[in-house]
Amino acid sequence: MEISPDQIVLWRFGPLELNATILFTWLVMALLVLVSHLITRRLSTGEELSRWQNLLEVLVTGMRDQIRDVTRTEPGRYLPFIGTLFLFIATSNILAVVPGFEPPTGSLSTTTALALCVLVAVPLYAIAERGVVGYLKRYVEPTPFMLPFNLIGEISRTVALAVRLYGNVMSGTVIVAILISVVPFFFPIVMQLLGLLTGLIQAYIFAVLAMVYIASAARPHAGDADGDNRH
Amino acid sequence: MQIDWLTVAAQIVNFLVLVWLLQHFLYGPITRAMAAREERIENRVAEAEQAKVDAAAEAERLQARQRELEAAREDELDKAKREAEQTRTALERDARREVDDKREAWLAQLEDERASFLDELRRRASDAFYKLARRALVDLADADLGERIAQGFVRRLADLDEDARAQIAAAGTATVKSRFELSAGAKRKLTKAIHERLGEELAVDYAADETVSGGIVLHAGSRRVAWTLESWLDGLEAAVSERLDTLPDAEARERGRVAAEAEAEA
Repeated sequence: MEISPDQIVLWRFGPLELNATILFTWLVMALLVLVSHLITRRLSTGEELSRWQNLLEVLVTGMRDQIRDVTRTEPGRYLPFIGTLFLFIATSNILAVVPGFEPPTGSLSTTTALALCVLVAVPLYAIAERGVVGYLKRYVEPTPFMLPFNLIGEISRTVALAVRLYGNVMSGTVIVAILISVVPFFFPIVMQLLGLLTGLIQAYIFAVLAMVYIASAARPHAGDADGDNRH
Repeated sequence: MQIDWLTVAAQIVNFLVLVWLLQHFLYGPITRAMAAREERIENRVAEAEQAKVDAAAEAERLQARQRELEAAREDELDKAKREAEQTRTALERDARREVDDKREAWLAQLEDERASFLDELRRRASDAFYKLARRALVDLADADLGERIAQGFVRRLADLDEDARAQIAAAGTATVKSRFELSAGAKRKLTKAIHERLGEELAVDYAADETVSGGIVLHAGSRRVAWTLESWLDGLEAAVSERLDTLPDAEARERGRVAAEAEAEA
């Protein structure tokens, strides 16, 4: 039984190998970009707009509102990063119901990559917002003795972010696989429907947590909302 | 639980590429479109607000203008009313004055006519009476009327008091006037009578005078002695006048007609 799509190697060229994770990631990327392009090719700025444009506007507006709620600032610069996290994870998880599709988010490599992106994005946004000194000062607050703990917290929450997503998605597919072998009818479908729900929730949680980390680092007063022990 | 770090690197790249692609194809266009729509709506709302303000200002201006016009209209109306009133008063006054003038002129004319009629009547009556009396006296008394008049005059002379006689005598010359030339006999008798009554030295002239109605008048200095038909004619005139005055019907009718005309003109 395959646990990670990393192990499904489709094509190998020397040390490089094209595995299912990367392939399905490209698939998701192509889908997202294609749909976006098809819809945004003809955008209306008037009152009359197509239902697809309306859908995208609802999505974008919803993400902007969420970001604004968390950061209490204008969402403009955070939107591409946070929004793409959410859209990529949500699309991957939803497509998991398609037979034969291995969600890239079920691979620890993918979730690690995303968590690493967040790990890098946090100081980048914080520095862009407060400057280098302002960002580094955050590690020695309230006292310099807290520096190691702050560093540990920074790393641990990144790891938690990666493992949480991986575990949820992977477990979903694994549970379905196990259930199919035990109870072949009906029950796996219910679990897959449940997987849709948890997949969306995971996407939302990942994006919101990333936003919270970035916001807490970028905010002038570091009221660090370490809410990463929820899962 | 294995991490393929090559795959991790590839996924990081993939993710960053996706971020860029979505920014290019999704967030950018959608955000711009929404911003453009918001701006457009804001513009239209602003335009609508401006139009509302403009409309309110325009309405205010029109109302003010209407009030002005109404005020002006009231003024014009009042003015016209006053002018009409003045014109009416003036016309009425003119009409009344005209009617009054006409009436007065008519009355004056009537008075003139009556007076001339009376004069004419008196003259003719006096003539006719004189002729009649003369004819009657000639026929009945077989004497000239002149002599009879002379006799009457002589009687009048006899009735004069002393003062009058003295004054006439002191005048030296007496002029005797009559309407018709007196006969020689009458003159003689008169001269004799005057000399007897007033003194021999008084010179007597005779003259015919149209203004003297039938009779004889003696002028001497400031004194006047007369026996004429005047008194009788006066009586006749008084009777005729009275008769004319008691003919008010025609005059009253005329007055009523004039008043009615004046009212009609007003």
